[in-house]
Amino acid sequence: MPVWLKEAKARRGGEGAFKSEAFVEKTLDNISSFMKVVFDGAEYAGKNGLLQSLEPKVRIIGIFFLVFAAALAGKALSLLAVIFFAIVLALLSGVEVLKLLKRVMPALIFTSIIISPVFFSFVTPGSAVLKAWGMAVTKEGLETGVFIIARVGVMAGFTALLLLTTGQSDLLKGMRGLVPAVFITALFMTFRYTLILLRTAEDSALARKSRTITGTNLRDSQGWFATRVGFILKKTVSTADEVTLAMVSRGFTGRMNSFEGRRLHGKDFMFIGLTSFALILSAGL
Amino acid sequence: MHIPDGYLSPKTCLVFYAGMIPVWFAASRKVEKTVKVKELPLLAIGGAFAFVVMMFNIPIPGGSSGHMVGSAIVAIVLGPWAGVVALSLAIALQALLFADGGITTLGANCFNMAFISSFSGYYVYRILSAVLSERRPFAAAIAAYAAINLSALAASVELGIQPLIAHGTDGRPLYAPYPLAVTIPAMVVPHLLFFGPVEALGTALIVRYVAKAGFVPEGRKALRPLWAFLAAFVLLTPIGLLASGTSWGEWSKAEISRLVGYVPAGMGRINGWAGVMPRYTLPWASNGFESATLYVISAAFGSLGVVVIIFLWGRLWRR
Repeated sequence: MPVWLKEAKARRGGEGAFKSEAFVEKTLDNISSFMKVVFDGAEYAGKNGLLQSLEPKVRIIGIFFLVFAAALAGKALSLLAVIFFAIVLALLSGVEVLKLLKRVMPALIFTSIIISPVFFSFVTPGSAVLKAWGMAVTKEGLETGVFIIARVGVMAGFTALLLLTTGQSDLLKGMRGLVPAVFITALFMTFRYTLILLRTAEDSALARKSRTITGTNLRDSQGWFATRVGFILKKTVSTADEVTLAMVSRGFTGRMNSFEGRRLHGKDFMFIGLTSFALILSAGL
Repeated sequence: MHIPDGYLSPKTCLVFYAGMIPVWFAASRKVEKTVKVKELPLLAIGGAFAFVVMMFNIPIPGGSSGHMVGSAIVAIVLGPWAGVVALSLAIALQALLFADGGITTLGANCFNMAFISSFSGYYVYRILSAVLSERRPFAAAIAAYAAINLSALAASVELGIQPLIAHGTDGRPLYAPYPLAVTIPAMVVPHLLFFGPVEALGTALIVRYVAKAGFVPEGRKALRPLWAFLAAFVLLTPIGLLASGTSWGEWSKAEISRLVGYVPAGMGRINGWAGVMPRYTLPWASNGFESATLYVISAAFGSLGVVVIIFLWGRLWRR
């Protein structure tokens, strides 16, 4: 190894030098985890299962009903029934419960951390079930906290179930007829151009990483950030202009036409009936 | 700042959907009606930019880094209304495709991160850049700082009012459990001290670069009176959450008698239709089990109604 390279490394973190290029690594991590979700997200979409066999629009409406059923559940019994519904739905759709749990885990961990003070007597007074270091975990606190965590978990579970069993394009197509066509077209475009702009961002970050031998100073690093984001901003506006011209040249006049979905079958109606039944029950019990 | 599902009560979620739907609807009508073809790609790709800018980590003093939200820069470049739509698209995509932020809380998240931050960011920038015409990056930094902190404040208020408006019969919270005295400092202080400065720094760096490169960010449109009305309504909508008692105009005769001292003669004569099963039960249902059974039957009829509506709607789709 040449001596100058060793010297440069030795200077890393010295006075005026930015400690590392960790921000580039983090940027690449963010992009790669996003890409992983995009390409790996709907891994059960191709399987034969209950949710997969339903018309995407029906799947979305039904899952929304169940999410709202979980949101409305005011008692432990109603929430348990909704959790049971989620597990049955996952099994019938060929999704392993452990896989679903893995998807829900970040929401459960985040909520558990936020909710944890509720377990203690200084937030929820009541009968103590555990005492340590002058603090007490109360029965009432446990009931309140576990109920909120379970609700967040099951709501996240239904969303995860929808995403695991529905490809991104099916999901967006399924929303046609539910929200104005202009938004669906815009969502499609946002999704598509997010991938294109992310590729530019990834190339920039990789180019910097592959050309950087040692850490640079903070000012240069911030300058790199500004030039890359500024460049992507310019590219955003110029791409929008190009896309507009392309659309106009192909006859786009501003009117959105959507493709017809497939005909609804008995199974679709049964699913809507069952999920709306669960929603109404949950609202009243 | 993305509020997940389960933190806000359905009542709050509906209020924010009700507040945001006119905004989205008006924006979509505007694009379709006036055939401003140019707007659509700009809004959509602007949403993509908002998504991408969140992926970049900004190096900050001390060797650490943080990522920005980018709502102020999007609003400054696209204008406030286009900013609202572009940011709503990015937030919707995050919720629908990546489960980042809830589905039930989508209206509230769009209100906080698209509506409030877009308008506050844009107008703070416009006002300050008029005063500090030579120091636009500084104006952008203040605008971004204000936008992210106002969004955080709005989210903290939404979370903090949950114990007041949604609790069980025994008074225990069912959704976000902490009061305003906890949620406001918990959300606002980190934004004032860390996330706000990161957002301000990132926005200033971008504005300085694009200004140097001869691509001066500037909002595109002035606020029109109709939009101003709409904005005011949307901002005032959540105030309804603080009101207690029966909705205005939905009083029973007893409540009217208590409020004004008498029941108008014409109203006294009308008994009104109580429905097939008032309060989802029947007079002969004497115990809890019978009432619950009747409720289940009402639910079955209700869901049958939903199926019929979907069936008819399906027929209409195919026409």
